[in-house]
Amino acid sequence: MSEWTRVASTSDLKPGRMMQVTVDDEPVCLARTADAEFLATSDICSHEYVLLHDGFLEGDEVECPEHGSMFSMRTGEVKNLPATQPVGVYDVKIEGEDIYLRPREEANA
Amino acid sequence: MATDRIDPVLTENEEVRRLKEGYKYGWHDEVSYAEKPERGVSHSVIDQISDRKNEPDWMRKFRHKSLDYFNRRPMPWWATADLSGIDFDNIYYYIKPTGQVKNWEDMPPEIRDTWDKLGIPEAEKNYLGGVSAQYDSESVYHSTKKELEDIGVIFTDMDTAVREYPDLVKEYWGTIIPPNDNKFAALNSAVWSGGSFIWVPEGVSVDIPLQAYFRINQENMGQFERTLIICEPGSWVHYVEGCSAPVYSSDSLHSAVVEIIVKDHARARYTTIQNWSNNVYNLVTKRAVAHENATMEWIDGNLGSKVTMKYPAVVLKGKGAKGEVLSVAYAGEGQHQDAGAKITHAAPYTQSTVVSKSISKDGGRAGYRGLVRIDDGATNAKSNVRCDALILDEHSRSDTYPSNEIEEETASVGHEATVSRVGDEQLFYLQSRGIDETEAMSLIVRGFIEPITKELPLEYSVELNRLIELQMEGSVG
Amino acid sequence: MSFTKEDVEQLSAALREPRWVLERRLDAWKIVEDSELPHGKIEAWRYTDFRRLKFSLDPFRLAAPQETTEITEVQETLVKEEGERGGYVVQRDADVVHQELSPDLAAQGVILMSLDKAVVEHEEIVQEHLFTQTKPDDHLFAALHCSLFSGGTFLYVPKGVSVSVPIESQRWIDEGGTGIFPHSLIVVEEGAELTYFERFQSIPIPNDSISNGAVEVVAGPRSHVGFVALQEYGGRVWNFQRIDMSAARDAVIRSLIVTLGGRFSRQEVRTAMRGEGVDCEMLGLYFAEKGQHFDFRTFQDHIGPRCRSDLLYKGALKDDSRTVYSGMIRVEPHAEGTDAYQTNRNLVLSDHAKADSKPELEILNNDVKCSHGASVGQMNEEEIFYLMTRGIERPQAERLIVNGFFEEVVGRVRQDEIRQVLSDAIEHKLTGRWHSAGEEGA
Repeated sequence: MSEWTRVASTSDLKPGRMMQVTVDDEPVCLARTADAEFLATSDICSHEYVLLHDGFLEGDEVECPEHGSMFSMRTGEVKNLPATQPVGVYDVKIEGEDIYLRPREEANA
Repeated sequence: MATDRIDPVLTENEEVRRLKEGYKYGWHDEVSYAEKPERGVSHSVIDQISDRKNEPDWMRKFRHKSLDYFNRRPMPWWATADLSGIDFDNIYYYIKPTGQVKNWEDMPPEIRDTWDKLGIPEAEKNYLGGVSAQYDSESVYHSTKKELEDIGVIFTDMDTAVREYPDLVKEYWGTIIPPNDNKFAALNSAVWSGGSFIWVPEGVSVDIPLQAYFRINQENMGQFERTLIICEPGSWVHYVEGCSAPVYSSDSLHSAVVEIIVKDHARARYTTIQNWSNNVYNLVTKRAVAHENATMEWIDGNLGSKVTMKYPAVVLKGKGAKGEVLSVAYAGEGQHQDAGAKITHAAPYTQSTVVSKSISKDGGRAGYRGLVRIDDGATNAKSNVRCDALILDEHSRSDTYPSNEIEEETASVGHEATVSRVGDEQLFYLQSRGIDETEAMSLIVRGFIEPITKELPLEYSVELNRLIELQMEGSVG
Repeated sequence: MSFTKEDVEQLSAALREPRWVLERRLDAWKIVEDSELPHGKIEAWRYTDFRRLKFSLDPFRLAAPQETTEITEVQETLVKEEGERGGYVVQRDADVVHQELSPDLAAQGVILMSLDKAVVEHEEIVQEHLFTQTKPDDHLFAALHCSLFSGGTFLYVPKGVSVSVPIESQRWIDEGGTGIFPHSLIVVEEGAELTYFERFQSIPIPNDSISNGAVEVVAGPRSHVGFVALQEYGGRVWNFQRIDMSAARDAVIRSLIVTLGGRFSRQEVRTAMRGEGVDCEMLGLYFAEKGQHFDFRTFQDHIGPRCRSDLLYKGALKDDSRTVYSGMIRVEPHAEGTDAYQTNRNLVLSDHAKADSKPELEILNNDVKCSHGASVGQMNEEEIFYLMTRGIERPQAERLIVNGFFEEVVGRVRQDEIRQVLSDAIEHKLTGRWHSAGEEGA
């Protein structure tokens, strides 16, 4: 089981915005939804090497800025082609002002 | 090659001559347009389009968002074709011709004349499915055979579908090709008009091909039709489109988006015979998704246009799905055909086949650009790509740009390509049998593309051969 | 990036080279200043994205030429253990530490020495050929190489001279955190014959190094040139290499690139068939494992008429490795009567490996015969099963099959002494004795 990594402070991100943070040397897209919930996925689109935090946040889905693929930030699941594979998801923990992330263990299929 | 394989159509020079005079895109009709808005695209142009079509709010929003994407995106960085002739500000994005008509006799005579030249009513008389005809931006003639209605198939133009089947359209719209997929898909998503909507109920087979014709008849016109086909489980449909445009002194743009959903055990085939005039930029995004044990087939004939960039795609999403692309490209003087195919294997036991045949002559440039991707987890996927190119003279060019991306150990992927000329021995042999050089050349070319033509419905097979025959004339010597 | 213009100037001063060399370096440096690190949005680097590889040019410093450098014992032993050679150049980091040429060849006018020395001692001929094949303007790494090359090999075979035993250069990386830039300039005059062998190795080093080398081969009319490169770097080396070969009328030119080592290896191999009737063979062989990323880019440039080129690149992939092969056959308008073939075959041995291939054609002449093929497949389980029924353990059965897969390429090597070195190197790799960065330790 991976450790929690502190990546940002809740005041770093306004609702409806995304930013890049780093966990275990990997780029992660951290989003704060309009409902002020924090969600995080891998920052790299599963289709091509494009950073998702440069894209668009719609509800709890992130849209890749390059080809319009959409991913659920809760499950990593693809909602829209051209991507066909999911992106990795991170568990989020808030302690006071601090945001902690941890790679979600893949459920064995 | 046996001489008894000569098709009577080919040798009927009288008929070929008539076709050349009458058929070739060298006419343009004086048509009275209902409205002709300003050139260029802007949020206000989009509001005008949306207002006139009396569209639901979600579609208006979709258009505006798509325009933002279009404005933000650069031109495709990887393109080898010259797109510098496209002047987005000088294009009419929407022209509404006189309103939709139900009966052939009620069509304006000029438009009827156009279809006559294309042989459409004839085709319809000769027992074909519904014919949807699009003249510049909008469908002006649409007839759906009663048989289709009886079996529950919806076949209508896209504007009507948005009004009459909003839930069905909204469920699938833009899910296969998101508006931000590429610059031209974004433009289409912003200004689209017309195109076809087809829904085939579960288990229903449509035995006759459904057809559509698209024509640009106005200088600097942009045509942006949008087609959505949904095949419910176990169904089957074949859709055929033809395209043409008259010759103008300045360039036009055709940028369509075609989305197809083929559900479990269903099969869809989409055939295009593209014969735009040599000043049309034809930049089209076509993608289908095939679910479990479904089959998707693209048959793509590219003869006309100045530049075509078109790579029909299949995403094999369900286990056991099959995808097939058969493509013919013919590039003559001043033409660049950048055609191809994209296949993504996203599930186990999926299979794909691509066969591409390209011919270039008189300085034309024809090519294949393709992608085969095997996702991690798509176990036991098989893919085979075969590209053959024929170069008919020393001024012409052929390119092959395939990519294979393999992330799965159990994949089996093959790609083969050949480039060759028409052999002197072949020509000599045919000439020694009393066939003149032009005819012999045509015969060889027809043999070369036969794997594709044999897959077409008879009328289209004849049409494709005739078009190539027309292009071939004078290519020898 | 840690390399600077001062590095270029100091290097040139330390080597006491003629003014024109410094000028060529500085011209290349201008391109370095205008270039960015290649990324996936440049077609030629589509599958090698340095962001994904977490590579940057920041950690490397230039390996500077030393006043006194000696060949180490291990290197000397390796030189002695190899078969017969017509001559040797051994480079350690920035410096050539050993050079020898058989007196017999020297008497026939063959020249073999470090390029550093040749720019002074054979200035005229070096000036005529240097950077005529390798151009700095392709991308950042080519420009960096042309700015910072040092050590290197100069090999000249006069008209009509036949060098019957191979001549070899060895490049060693002995130090971590550095960049080395070896350049080979091989000039083979009309009717001459040569087989040239380059070998790249490193000792275990504590941190990453970069090797950015180039080979220029100028093959004269009717010459016969064989070129073999064997790359066996350790797991901390990022390898970039260009091999640019030019063939004049009726030349026969063969190359073989064997790539086994390095954390990363990008090799660009070009044969420009400039004269009429050139006969060209291009072979490649690679085995990637333990996170290695190999990227090959080949060019068959048909410029002159009636040339023939035949390319075969075969690779096997294991673990989470990734390989990219992209090859271009380009037939220019006047290259009538061209015969060109290109084949890339990949054997995938693990579910986590990725193989990308892009076999491309650009044909501007109609009098051609051209074909290419690419395939990706897995090991045939039936073959393994058959071998196992014969009492062979599975790992060994797999090795036998991979060896069989490679044999089509290795078998085409004409010199026994080189074929043996290659077979040993492949065996070393197949038996798991190559170490990734993590396994090398600090």
